[in-house]
Amino acid sequence: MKKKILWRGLTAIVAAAIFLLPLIGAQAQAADKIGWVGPVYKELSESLTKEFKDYYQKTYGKEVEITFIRPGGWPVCVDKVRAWGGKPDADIFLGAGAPAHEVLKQQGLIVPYQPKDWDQVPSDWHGMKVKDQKYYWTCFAPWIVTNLYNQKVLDRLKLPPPKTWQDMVNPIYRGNVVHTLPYASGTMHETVEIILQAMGEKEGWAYLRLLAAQLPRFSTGSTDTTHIVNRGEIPIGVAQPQMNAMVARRDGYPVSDLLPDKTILVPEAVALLKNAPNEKVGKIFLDWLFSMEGQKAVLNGGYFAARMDIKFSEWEKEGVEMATHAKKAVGVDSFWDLDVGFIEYDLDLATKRWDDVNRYYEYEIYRKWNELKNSLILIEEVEGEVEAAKDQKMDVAKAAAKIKEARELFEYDGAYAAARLAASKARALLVEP
Amino acid sequence: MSRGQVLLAAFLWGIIGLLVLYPLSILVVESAKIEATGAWGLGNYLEFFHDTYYLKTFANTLVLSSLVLLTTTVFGIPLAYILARYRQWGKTVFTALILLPIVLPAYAGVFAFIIFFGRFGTVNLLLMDAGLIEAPINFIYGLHGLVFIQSLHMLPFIVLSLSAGFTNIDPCFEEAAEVEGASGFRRFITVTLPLCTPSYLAGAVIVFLWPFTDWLTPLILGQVDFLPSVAYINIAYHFTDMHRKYMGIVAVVISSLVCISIFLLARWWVERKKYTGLSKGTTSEGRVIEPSPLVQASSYLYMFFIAALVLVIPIVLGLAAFSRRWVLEPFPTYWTLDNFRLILLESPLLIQNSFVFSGVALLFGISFGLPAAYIIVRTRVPGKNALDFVITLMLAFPGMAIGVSYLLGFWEGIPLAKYWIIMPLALFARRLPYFLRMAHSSYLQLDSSLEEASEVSGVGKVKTFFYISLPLLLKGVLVGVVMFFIMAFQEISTAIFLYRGGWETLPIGIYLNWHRGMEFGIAAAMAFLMIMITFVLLLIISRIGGGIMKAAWGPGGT
Repeated sequence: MKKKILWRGLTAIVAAAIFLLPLIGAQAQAADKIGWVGPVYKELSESLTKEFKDYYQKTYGKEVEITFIRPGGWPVCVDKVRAWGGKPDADIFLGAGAPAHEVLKQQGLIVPYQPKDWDQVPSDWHGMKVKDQKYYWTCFAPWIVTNLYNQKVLDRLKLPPPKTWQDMVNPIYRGNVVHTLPYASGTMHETVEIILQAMGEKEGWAYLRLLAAQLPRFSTGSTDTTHIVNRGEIPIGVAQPQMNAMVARRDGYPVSDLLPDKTILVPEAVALLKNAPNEKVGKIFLDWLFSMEGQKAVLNGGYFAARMDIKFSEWEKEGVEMATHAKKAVGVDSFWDLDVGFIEYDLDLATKRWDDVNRYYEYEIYRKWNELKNSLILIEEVEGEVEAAKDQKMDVAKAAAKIKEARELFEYDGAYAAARLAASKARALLVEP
Repeated sequence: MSRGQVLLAAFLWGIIGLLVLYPLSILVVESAKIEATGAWGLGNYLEFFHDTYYLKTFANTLVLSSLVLLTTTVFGIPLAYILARYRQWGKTVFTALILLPIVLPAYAGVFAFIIFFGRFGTVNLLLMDAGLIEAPINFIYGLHGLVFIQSLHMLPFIVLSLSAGFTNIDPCFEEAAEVEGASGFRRFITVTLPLCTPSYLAGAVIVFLWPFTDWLTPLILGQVDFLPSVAYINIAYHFTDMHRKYMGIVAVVISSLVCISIFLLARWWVERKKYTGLSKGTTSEGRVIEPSPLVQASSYLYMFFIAALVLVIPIVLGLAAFSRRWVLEPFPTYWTLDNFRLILLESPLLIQNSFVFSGVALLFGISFGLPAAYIIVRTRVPGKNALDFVITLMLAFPGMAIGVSYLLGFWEGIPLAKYWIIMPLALFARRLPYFLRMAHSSYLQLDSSLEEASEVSGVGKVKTFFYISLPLLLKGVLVGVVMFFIMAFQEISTAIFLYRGGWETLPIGIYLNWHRGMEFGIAAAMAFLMIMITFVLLLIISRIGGGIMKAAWGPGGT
């Protein structure tokens, strides 16, 4: 009989442990609550948390308890919201550009809300949508997709920073460029899309193949790219949010922005989740976020502010420390005065072909990456031989035509094996024309 | 087979059903979803085996697993032998040092090695500054780097299991061999090693399966063509591409199947032969040898070599923890306490969470693992093998799969994921096999005649367990307990999917600060703190544990 008692005791203890422990975690809270989910950096969430708590205390005489979840880059965040299946564990989707919010909108995971100073945010800029006309989402922190380089390492390697996208694929930078996979990072995906839209699909994919051949490895994500460049492991990082360089510089890393000649704006936006458990506080937060006070908290969190009526110089006078950094970083007095090479970005096209672009990149570039690099190296070798033969006044017409064909097979068709074959033929034609 | 045993088994099955079968079945169902038609079928699996890329990742993973197992075994056998048998000064410290990698999250080690062995890491910079090399040497990016890092990480498992084996062997066997004229190396190969097979396989299975679960190390090194990393990328980053997600889950299921097969093979091997001795020998610490000065010296040299490699991790992390702006310098030049100031504001909660979650998980683990091992080894309850299978299945499933399946399974319906208890529950479920394996092989080495004698004398099964089996098992089980706790302490792959604001553990804090945040000094400081806490913990346990821990980790020490 003893053993029965013992087993029952054991069962009871384990059962009690399983069912009672959650209660300890769910202590009753008197304060109001709000939950954010999104891919913004910790600095921003901390700055917003601090300032919003102060504001809430001042205005409503009450504590507000803020939870912030950042499960990963924005695709992971969108996934998290989707996994919640209409019963979100947060109220606000904080951060991520238009594509994320378009997906959330299409899948009915967010609801429209017009914050008080909504009118102060531009509707569009250089063809980029900055807010949703039906109030589903609104940009609160705009930035530009850019690149990054480590001055110290480039100096040691005696390389100048690449000025344009074309500079970047110069063989002198081989092994010194890093980026991540477009399906592992929203920023990288947007960079691929920028290149495709700026150069056209044919030239764009050719360019992306050449760029991939520059990498010694892929990074895990865009933040990983920042770290690799900060630490100097690889000196040039492609596909970076504009703030990364600014914040890394403030932290003392010898890195600089590499504003590309063609880029886009990412309207880091905010939206109210459907069935938000604390909808009322959520709306108060959205109103506050677009007030001057909220926008200052955004800037102090290392992001550019979105309102059109902001002048950095005025904020500088008011003693906003980050206004000085922002002014230096962009070189103008308001983010919207910035003059960089923007492309006409077709958001609908980008959203529609999102998966296709990722899949093409994965199948035709990433999976064949080693073959791709070998093919390019062979083509470059033979091209060098053709040039050398030309210098020796040899008849290189046939070989030159063949190697041109090889490069076209490589760049435009991604037919790496056929390109190698053509390159070998070109090499043979040099010897026996 | 008594009614009590059946009830106990039913209870264990209930827990397994809730925490393993239910969520994982959701995963399998997901893997069979066909994106194009919305139906279910085997299409994804067929695609997997027709796709040369997936086959390549599969082959890569197998190669990596074999190399890691080979490396850890080759380096682990001498180490385990030294630690288990030689009477040496400072053994406790060395043991703790060599065990250190398992208490570190694997990725913290990777970052340390990138800083140390990276392209412009300390070693390369020193070599280049000395003019010995022109261009940086690629120490870590590639298969060789993965084998190196994963082997160092997994070496403790081989060492722990082998030294447990060496200590547990009845000295009579070896003495008999010596009497018969087989001494030294021959005795070691023909008697000692084969007798360790059950313990060795317990560790070897864990080591071999590691590359099938570790998605983070390859990812950080930018070498993602391995099954778990591809699975992770496909699952975590599928965005709107559901097909990608399903293919990721297929990869998870397939790697799980591989793991199950390997496990079965090991088990079949152990059970094919009888490895039990009648007694535990005359001393509780097993056989101890006083080595000759030459052997003594070379064994120290060897331990120093391994310990130095291990020490690179805490030292580099320590340097990073007390500095900032460490760029293109062999050693940091800008020193600060800022990182620690920041984490003292941030991490009390993280430290507390880590202890609470791992501790609760450990309680679950013990109250589940011991009865489970008992049912599996000592009873004939129907379905006990199935119970063993299912528990071990958790070893096979990558943490992220458990995280994702828990998130899917415990949000609606059974809303456990809304409470923090999901964290220790997931840790418990994920790490359970580690404890069970140890208890299992300890049970195997414990001859049932001892228990039978007790029962024949009229003592009940429960009493027999507490008075006879448990004391004899403790040695093996304590190793399991320690390993369970530290594995739970460093767990991230599951937790990263389940944590909510306020539930962050130390590893998650490190991950967020280092990998997602901007300043890696803070993360390094957290990792450094974690190493210190765990190291102190190990030392305290080995002291307080007294005879038992001495027995488990070998005698000696000062």
